Amino acid sequence: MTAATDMPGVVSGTIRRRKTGPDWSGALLNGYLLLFFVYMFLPLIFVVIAAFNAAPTPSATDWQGFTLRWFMELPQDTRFIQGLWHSLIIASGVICLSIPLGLSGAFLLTRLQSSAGTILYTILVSPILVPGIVLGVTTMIFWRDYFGLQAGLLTTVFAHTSFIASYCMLMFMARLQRQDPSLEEAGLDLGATPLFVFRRVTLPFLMPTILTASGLAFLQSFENYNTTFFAIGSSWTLVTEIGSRMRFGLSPMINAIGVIFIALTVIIAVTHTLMARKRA
Amino acid sequence: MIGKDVELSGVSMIYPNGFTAVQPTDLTIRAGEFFSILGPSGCGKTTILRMISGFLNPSSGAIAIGGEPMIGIGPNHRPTALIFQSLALFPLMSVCENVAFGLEARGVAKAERRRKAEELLGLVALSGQEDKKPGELSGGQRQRVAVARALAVEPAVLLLDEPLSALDLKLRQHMRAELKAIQRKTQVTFIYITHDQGEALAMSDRVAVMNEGRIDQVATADALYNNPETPFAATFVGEQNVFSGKVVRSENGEAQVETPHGPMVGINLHRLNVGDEALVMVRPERIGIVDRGGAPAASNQLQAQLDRRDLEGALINLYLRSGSQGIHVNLHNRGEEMLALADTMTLAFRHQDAVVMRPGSMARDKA
Amino acid sequence: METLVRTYGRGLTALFIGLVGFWILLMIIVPQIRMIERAFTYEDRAGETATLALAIDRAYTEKFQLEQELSGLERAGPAVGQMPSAPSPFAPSMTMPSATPVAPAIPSLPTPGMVPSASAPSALSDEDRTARAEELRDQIATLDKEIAELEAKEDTSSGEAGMKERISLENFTSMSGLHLKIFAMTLLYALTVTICTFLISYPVAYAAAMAETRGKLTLILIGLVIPYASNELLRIFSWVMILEKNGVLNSLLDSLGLIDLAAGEGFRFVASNGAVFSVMVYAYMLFMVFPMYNTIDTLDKAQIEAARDLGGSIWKIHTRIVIPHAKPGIAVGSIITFMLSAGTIAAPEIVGRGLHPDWFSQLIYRRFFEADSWNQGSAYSLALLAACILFILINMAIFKVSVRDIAK
Repeated sequence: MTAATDMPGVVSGTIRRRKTGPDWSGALLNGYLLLFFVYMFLPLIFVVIAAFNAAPTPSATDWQGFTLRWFMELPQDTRFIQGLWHSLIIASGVICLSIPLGLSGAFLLTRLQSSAGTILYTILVSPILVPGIVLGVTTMIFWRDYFGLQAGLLTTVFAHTSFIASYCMLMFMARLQRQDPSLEEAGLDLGATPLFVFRRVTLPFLMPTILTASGLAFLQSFENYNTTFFAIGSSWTLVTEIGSRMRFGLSPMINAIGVIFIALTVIIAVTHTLMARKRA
Repeated sequence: MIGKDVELSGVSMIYPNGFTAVQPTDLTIRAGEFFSILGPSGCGKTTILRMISGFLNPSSGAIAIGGEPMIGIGPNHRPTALIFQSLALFPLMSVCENVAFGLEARGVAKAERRRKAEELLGLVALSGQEDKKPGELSGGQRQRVAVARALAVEPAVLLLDEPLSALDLKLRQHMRAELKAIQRKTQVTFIYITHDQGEALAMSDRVAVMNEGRIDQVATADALYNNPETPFAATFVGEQNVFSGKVVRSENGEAQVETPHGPMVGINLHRLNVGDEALVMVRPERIGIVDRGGAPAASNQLQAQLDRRDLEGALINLYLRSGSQGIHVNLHNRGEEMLALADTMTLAFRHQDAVVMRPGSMARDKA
Repeated sequence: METLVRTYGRGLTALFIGLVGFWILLMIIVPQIRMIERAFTYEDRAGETATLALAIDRAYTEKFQLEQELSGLERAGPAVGQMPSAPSPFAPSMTMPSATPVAPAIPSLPTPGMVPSASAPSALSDEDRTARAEELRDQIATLDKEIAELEAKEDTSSGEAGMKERISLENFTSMSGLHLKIFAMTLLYALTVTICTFLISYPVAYAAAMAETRGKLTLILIGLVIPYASNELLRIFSWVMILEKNGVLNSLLDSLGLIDLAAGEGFRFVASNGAVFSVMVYAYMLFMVFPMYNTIDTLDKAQIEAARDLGGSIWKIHTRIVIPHAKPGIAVGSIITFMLSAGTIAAPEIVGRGLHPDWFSQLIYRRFFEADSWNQGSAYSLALLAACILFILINMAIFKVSVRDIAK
């Protein structure tokens, strides 16, 4: 035993010498990271450049002067504006459905520990693991065949909700798992009705998550393309409209929208990350 | 506030997976007493508490509080209040809102709630902390908020589920005294769950020792320590030296047991007959060393070798060995000469200090 | 269930169960069952109906080719370009064309679903070209009339009476060799995308998890979140701008003097499977990074240091400590990346511009909206779904993770 306790001193001597190696590989890793970020950001930068380029087709290389024309034209484009309106309607509908559904699923699942719970869980998260177009297809078929409802805004709300509610549910479950289950019991024990406990204890606890989940549901719905493509029928959202114009690559207006999207993303991402950091 | 009695008759709990948490149990807790249920984790004590509070329905049997049957009545309609192990203070509410929660649920007006909460916070020495959040308080203060919150609904029975386990030793000892004082002041029946014998012995009027879903013994703290009735109660509360052997003689309420360390005589608690397997139990402080001052004139004697000697100030702990059996002896420090390690010495104890019992399960680990 | 009622009361519990029931039945289970039902119901477009459908398909294909040539002629300058190597056997996708004309460069084509960047052989003189264009327009007009007639006939004959339905596997077995090949290729590409994203993003996830300071970590996370949260279409489109004929890559080659863009040289990178593939690698990369980062981040860094102390090589440290620990994250990342790549319609639609050989998702779209065969479309969707489920199951077996590990 004594001999062994002496050994680490010797070993740690060799480690220190060894550590110069990994430092070199750390630099390599940093270099790789830099390269990766160039790979991730360069294409987006081209999109931004083309948005301010006077050239009539989106181009980052054929510079024909600075212009804000493509931004100015956006409000005049009725199809874009109409699409934006559709997107907002759909996203609001998705929030209104996803939050109650996600909450209900989370409440059931956190209280069901048996194998029934596992089956229910698998069913409720399955939409996340299913390709978006399949969700679009099934929603479109189902509502037309059973209710005579043609694909449109309403079917899109249903298609989005089917998987966005799963995301919301997972967020609520994570939050509920951090809740001391005896909080609700304590409320009941003090003579409160279950409804009173729910309103006064459970909901306030979940409120921050309800807000973030609403935000996530909004973004997921607003940005969705693959599911919407099938579920929307002859109507359109901002994103499907952008998609169909991208296929033709006709006007830098889509770059202008892209710049707005990227700007919003940057603002949200930075504030969110900084807020998360402050909380930690 | 006035306490009520709690009566369990034939109460048992079998979980859906077949696990029997509580064997059919009869138990009467008197109005206004400080009653503890003491047992290792998993012994079923928390299950009993949750059945009394109404969070679990017993598989069989009946529970009555103050003579009123409780089966089928939800936790929010029982005259009980539970203090959770985690305390379960509402993190988003102020201390005052926490204490007043039960009153708010009953529709008491805001000013009245505030007045009552302040009064109770005064009782637990937390005046002036009303508007803090539980997170801003120390462990001991949170503890007191939980007590005040439970007392606010004027329960007849206060149930406490190891509420002190999260505190450090000093604070725990202080809170014991405080809980005891609050119980005296309010006259509410306290049912206290713990695995810590020190807590149970220090605070309780009576203690129930529980093991494997069964209550072994209900007694006052003194009786429990001095006259344990089962091997489990004997070994879980305080320490015991246990010798096993066979009964060779039984008369006058005493039994002589033949052990590998020689014959030993003790009180024949379980009225064993000649030929029965038996355990002889004797507490470390009841054993003396022959040839050394203060050794009792005792007829039970055995030879042992000293392995280790720990000085604990007023007490000296000796760890001896006789064959493969370890023996623990606890002596008062009288300033006498050192005992040399590896010395062989003769140990002795009196008949009336040894108990002969039927073999049964014993406490292995005490936390 | 009992605890549920006790905690939330009868009313709320009933509400929760009702809402979850609504969700499961109307949004998950029954729609899937309906799709499966349709997938196994074969519409026998016997006799005339089938012939008609075939004739219409053929007419569309012919028209499409003529239009291609025409548009080439109309744009023809001195440019030398390649014809699209293998035009889709189907009419171009019929996504709603924009109501607002935004493109001065596009002549009013009957089907605006095509970017006419391919030009005709420049051997023809101007007069020849005009004459040929006239001829083509005539032919297209004739075809249009023909198609209209055929479709009118189809509408009358394909009523309920004209079709017989029966339960069978024919929707699957009647999948043509071409479609089967596209299906297999789509899955193969998706698998390759998954592997590539893993290889590229593993060091990134590792570097993020091992960031020494909070500042560096914040910077890395913001750098990852921005492209991650940018719209999928935007990420795809950004690469179209690079790969286009007049795109960044060709400009780069031009400035290096390798090609002469002004002279019409330039590679048509878009509208090929390779382009769709590389765009998908880019677009779905971060779905691999984040799950991996999340698991590697929970690894006790002392383990790595201990391994280093004991003289483990970098290779050993990763294969024996980091990767085994990151398994659930790798599984999640792989499943999501595979699912997105196999099921995307955005990438092939935007990168492909309808010109390159089909992606399976596009076949599904065409089954529904162009061939108007919802049952076959359902069968194709079901095949895709089955492939994804199979992939998930294989992943779960390889990485030994449960559903609860996957969806967190």
